[in-house]
Amino acid sequence: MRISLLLLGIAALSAEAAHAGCCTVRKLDETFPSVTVRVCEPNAAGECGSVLFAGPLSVGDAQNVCSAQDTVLYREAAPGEPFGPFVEAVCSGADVEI
Amino acid sequence: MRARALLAAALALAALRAEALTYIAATPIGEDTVAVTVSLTDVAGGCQVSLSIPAGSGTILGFFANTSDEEALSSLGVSDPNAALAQWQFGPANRVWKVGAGNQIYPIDSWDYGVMTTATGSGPPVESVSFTLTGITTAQITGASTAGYILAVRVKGTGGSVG
Repeated sequence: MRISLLLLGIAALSAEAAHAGCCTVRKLDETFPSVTVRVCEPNAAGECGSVLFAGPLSVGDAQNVCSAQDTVLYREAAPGEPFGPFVEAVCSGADVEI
Repeated sequence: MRARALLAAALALAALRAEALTYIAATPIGEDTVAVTVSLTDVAGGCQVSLSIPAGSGTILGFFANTSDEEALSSLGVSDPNAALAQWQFGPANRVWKVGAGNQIYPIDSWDYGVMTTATGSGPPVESVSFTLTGITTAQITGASTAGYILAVRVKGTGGSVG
């Protein structure tokens, strides 16, 4: 019984690890040189589940995030503007260039 | 950059094959003209989108389009077994214009969805890319338009100009 539970636990951890990822959100686009960014881990519904980062990013800035999923959601707000809609981005080692 | 962001889109284009609806548009990028080929093919569960440009002419940044069934927009997605895409956005309807750094269509900025390829500033050029938009058909893509354009492809030329 204990061995079965242990195996189940290992299998669950392996499955989670296969989908987890870390990435660097890097501000490169100069359309709005400084923006406020909110990065989320998506929940089962594909919506913002938990916030991984929220704050300002200027061109050249970068922020490391890790998600239990292999994607993250992010949205940006230009100065004086409301947040735009969420964009989904692959988060598996490579930069998320925004 | 926004002012320089020209539309690389299909306008009054001809379908070359019945199986895969193929558009070819000569796109001005800086002082060059780049031929962008877009093929749309209905597959199980969606529409396969294939984009290509001639070798050495630049890199494909992204793809934007619409759907004739905006109510189903939230159920659209991507199937990307080749890991060709880095980012995507589905909706809100008529409000999608930028997906990722440098991948924006302006001033025509009222698309329903858009994707960004894995092209980066330091990586190799993306000269061809293929992915599947799930939950949509070719007819739904070509049956909608924004400002007279059915779709748009964002390309960065070898000289750095975009179009």
